[in-house]
Amino acid sequence: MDFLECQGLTKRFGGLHAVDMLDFRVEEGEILGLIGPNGAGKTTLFNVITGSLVPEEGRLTFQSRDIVGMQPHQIAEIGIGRTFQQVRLFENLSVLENVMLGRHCRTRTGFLGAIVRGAKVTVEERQTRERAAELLEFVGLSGRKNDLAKNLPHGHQRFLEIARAMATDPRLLLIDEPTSGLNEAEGQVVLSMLRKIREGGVTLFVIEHHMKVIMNLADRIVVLNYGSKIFEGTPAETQQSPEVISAYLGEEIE
Amino acid sequence: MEVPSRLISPSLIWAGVGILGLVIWPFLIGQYWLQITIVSGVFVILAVSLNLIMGIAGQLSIAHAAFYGIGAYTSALLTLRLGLSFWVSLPLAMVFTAFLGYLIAIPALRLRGHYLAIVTLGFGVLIYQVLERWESMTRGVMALTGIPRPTPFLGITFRTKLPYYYLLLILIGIVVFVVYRIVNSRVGLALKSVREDEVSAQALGVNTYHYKVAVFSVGTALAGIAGGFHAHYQRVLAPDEFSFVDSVRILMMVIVGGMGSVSGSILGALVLIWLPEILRAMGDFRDLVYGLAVILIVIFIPGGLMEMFRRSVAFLQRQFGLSASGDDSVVRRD
Ligand SMILES: Nc1ncnc2c1ncn2[C@@H]1O[C@H](COP(=O)(O)OP(=O)(O)OP(=O)(O)O)[C@@H](O)[C@H]1O
Ligand SMILES: [Mg+2]
Repeated sequence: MDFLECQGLTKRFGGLHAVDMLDFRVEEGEILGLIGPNGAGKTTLFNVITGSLVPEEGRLTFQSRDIVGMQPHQIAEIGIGRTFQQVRLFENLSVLENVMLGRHCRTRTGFLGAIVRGAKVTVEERQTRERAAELLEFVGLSGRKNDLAKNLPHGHQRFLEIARAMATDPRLLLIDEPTSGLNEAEGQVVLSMLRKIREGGVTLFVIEHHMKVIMNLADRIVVLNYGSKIFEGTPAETQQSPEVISAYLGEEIE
Repeated sequence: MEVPSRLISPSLIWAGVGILGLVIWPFLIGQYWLQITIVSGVFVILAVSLNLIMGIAGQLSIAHAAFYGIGAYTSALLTLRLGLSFWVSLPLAMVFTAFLGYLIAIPALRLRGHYLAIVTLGFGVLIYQVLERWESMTRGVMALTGIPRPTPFLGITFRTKLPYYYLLLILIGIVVFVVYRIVNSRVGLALKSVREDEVSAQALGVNTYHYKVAVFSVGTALAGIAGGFHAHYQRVLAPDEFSFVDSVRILMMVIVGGMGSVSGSILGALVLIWLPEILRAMGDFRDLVYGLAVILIVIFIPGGLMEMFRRSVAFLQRQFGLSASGDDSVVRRD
């Protein structure tokens, strides 16, 4: 069964083709890297996949199911999670509450249930807390669970966003520039988290601006420029590709 | 696991003392202050319900007094024209108010941004005009009079202020309980996520549109209850109690008490109703002092009165070396 597949995908902003006739697949279980210069359309592609933007043209299927036109909350329900390029947390909620919210699409309690608060509801709430606590443990933030999210340092905020996305039990996780704004050590922590997440059976699709970082992480890499795919291959192949090198001209590769 | 000794926890004792205090309160004050108490109680329901919409879910509504008015007129007219009992008209008024809230929320909340504020602003003006101009139904500025008292319930007649006070206490109890339960649940978290960041909320599977419409309907339903009670207590209704200014007044109560805090909204309503009464002695300066007090609170205590109260308690505890009560494993409750 095809995992995530897109064909002829196009997203325009006025005359600008932010994503242009794009074909590619994400294979189940892999870590696929997505790189490209500033404004190449990487984030736009994530927004299209997650339903925040509706493409003008093209097909987009997840586990053989057409997902074009689905709402973002439905995309989360079918198992596609995401993080954001600029961290977007619920700033005035606690660290624990942020992760608990990730369980939203896997839990049921409604208004009436909340008011009556029967046994089922309390059990569900306990399970939500337990799962959230586990994920905080995983990203090393257990000690800060009662702090407001906005009071965490930037690095911890990135960790928290990953824990929150993992709380949705994703099959596919879209990660937009996970190391941006992090120092070397924090970047390494994030990369090892992502590897562990993959080992846990979650497929990863990771945007990285810098090739150096994605080299160690990805199994395969798709390179975008002006909305089009200009290369696809292993990290080693990508590094040597003349197209990629010229797209990155003036920027540092290595 | 509940430890037996927790059955008589300090918070339970405080709750008992509080309820006892509320029950004997009317006997400690005169008729005039009982009147003020009841008015402020109605506004407690209004502030708590608006806080659910505005403070918890972050949706700015400038028509809460209009929904209050819809509840009041609906219940009054159901008893006057159809001869229904108050005990039937009150829930019907609540349902009808919620239904109108729902109808307004559907188009207003589909759009991003401040559309709800604008639509509710317009709706408030519209309702005011309807109440004023539809004289054959509402009697307009001549006021709707002769609204019946609640029929006796379990032998309790509503001839004096006292039974009204206890009825209101029960209604407030129900409203606060319902709001508290909603706020401290999966639903409450989802509502707060809508307030904090809709894009993130959706990415986690929160159907933000659904929650916005639902919370608006629930909030307006509760305003309908306040209106229904008010109609049969005051027994005279005129449009000028349900104007834009009144909506802003409820809004101020929520802000002064502290956005998002249930207890803050209660405090905000009480303070903004009682303060002018207490300041009455100041004569001509009353409005000036009142306005100034509100401005100072909003500017210098951004978290509202409840936040100030929490901080003061924490400060005193630190000063006197008392440890904070409650266990820290519990997520902050509002
Ligand atoms: N909502 C929008 N409206 C109009 N133009 C947009 C919008 N979002 C993105 N764009 C434009 O689309 C192009 C692709 O942007 P996108 O954010 O997808 O790039 P990116 O590859 O993620 O770049 P970066 O590495 O800087 O994050 C850019 O030219 C951008 O200005
Ligand atoms: Mg980007």
